[in-house]
Amino acid sequence: MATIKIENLQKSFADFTAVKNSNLTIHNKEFFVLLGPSGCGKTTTLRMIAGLELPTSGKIYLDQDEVSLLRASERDIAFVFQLFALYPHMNVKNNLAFPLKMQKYSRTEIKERVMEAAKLLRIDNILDAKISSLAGGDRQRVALGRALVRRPKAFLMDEPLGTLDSEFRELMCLELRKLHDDIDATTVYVTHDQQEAMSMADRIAVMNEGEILQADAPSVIYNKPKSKFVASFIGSPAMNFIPFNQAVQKNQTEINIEGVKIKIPNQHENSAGQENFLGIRPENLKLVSNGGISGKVFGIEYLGSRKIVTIDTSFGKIKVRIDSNVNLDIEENVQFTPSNNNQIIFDGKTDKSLISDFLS
Amino acid sequence: MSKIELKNVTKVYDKTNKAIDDLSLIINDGEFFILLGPTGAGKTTTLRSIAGLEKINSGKILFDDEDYTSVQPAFRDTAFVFQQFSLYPHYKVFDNLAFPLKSRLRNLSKDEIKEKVEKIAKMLKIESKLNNKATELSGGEMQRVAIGRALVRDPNIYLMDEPLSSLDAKLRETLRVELKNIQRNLGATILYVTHDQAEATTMADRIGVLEEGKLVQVGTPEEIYNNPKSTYVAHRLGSPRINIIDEEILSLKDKPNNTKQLGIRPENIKINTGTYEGKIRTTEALGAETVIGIEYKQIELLALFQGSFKGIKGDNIKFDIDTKNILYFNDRNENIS
Repeated sequence: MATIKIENLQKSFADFTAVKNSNLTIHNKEFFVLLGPSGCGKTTTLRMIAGLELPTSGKIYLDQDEVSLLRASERDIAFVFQLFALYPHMNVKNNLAFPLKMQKYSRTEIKERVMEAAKLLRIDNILDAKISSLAGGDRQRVALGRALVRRPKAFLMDEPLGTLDSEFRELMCLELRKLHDDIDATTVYVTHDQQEAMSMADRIAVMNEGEILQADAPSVIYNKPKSKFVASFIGSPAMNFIPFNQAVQKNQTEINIEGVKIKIPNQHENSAGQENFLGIRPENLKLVSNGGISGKVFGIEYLGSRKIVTIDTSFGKIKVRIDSNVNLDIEENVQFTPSNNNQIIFDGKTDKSLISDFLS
Repeated sequence: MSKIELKNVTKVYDKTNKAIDDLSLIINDGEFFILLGPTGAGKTTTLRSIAGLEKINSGKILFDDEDYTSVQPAFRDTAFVFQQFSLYPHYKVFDNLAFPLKSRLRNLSKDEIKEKVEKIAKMLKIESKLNNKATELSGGEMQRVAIGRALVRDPNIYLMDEPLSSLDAKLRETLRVELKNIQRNLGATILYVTHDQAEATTMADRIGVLEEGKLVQVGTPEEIYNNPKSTYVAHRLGSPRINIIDEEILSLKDKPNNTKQLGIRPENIKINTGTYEGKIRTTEALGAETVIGIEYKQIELLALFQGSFKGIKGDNIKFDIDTKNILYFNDRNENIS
């Protein structure tokens, strides 16, 4: 399989820059996810790796070879699209064989590769079925199979699960990841769904407005985001941002919110301005009977193994994760406070996280 | 608002295809009732039958104990919110919201209409958009307006067909809490259908689980999660999904007679403790927790671990099962715990 490297990659459409000066190395056998909102440049980046768009400037390497300006067909890469483009009048077998026929492989070779892919995807029992008679999940497997038969160096996937319903998507996530592991592939996967990214990726690159903001393992992105944008994009429910009006100094270990002193990890730098945010995830807050920040219960969401309480405060709504056996009433007055030291101060001016004992 | 009752309702398509099959159900006045089921379970047909958009083959539909089975849709006074919002694009938000109130059947004054529209717009946080054209809104705002157009009325019941499913995950989460809050404040009777279990458990007073046109269980979210009637229902709620395994795999001593399968929720499998030993097959970081796939006697068990987990695929791992919370199922997949 392959290592993919992009260097100072840039793509402009007229006066709009879709991808700005991007650098990335995607390692051999890695499941790499490009994540971001629509219009962030993730699909454009993927299409440049595939050769479906040519970069305005910068370079792309597949292993040692520069492929920046090669045509898609000259790169040993397979692309799986969001909408499965299958031939509806052909049966499964012929859909799988099609790319190989176009490349003039021998019959025995085609047969062998089709069977191999079909077995891997567990569609070997429906090889004679017509595409139009298949359920969504099976169609998606056929689309994957058509990429698989080429035995490419890398798989590129553009939101391949976007059209499936939630229960099925969860299942396909597991399957895709297993498939990736089974064939030792290098996969680059584009999605706007943070849950998909978290559950499948070895590393995630979060993009916004054409820029790669952070590329790290899911747990690092989740726990130690480098900017407020990354922090807010990852996690469900999202991270709480509590605004406070106080410049943060180096070595500071406490801030004041609504008259309540809150301990923070020892800070290693000063904030640029006066208005900053305390970032804290719902599972890192707890309800207390006194001494915490106060608010009123606005909503309680039961999720089986846990509950999420939404609390109305003077600075907006805050979410706290609690055990599902704790009972609360709507409009009840409650207080909450951090339950550990996993807090991040976000600089209100730069949107960046401040370096601290917790976040280096 | 009214109490709605369905008595043995059956709806057949193409002579043989029972979309809903002998369905009986009471939705209480002021209740947020959610029908949960996969595509094709009969959710939308049930909604459409209550609205009068489908003619049922047998059974009765009662509004406040009065037989409405053959009442025309216009006189049933139900408010429908569809999955795909349909607004009047050339109208302002205000006029879109006011439209249902302008019907001659209602005979409301201009001031009354204005007051109602502004009240609902405020609740849905679109009061600053009242003078925008519908086409100038984001997807989330459009769906708020679509929901608002139902809420300005005071019908017998609000019928909602997956109104949040076309929105992105963040917005869906926000609207979930808001919709529940509005419903509580208005004391509204809502029948809401969805295939999304998180929507069902977070908003519903009671959930009805549908399986191929049949209502298989009705209860509060807690009741259904903790005490599902069958393996089918057990699978519908809970993410990651419940482990349903052959009882022989654990060979427990204390179990009901006729136990065939066991149901174990992933949060009831504790790792790095206990006497069971397996192999790590998959790990899935979800942020606050990690789902660990453990290979044990040729099957895969999913365990939910709080926090980020530092284990490597292929490693051996010890685990313990909280036997108090195991569910027992017989050979007909019924819960016999």
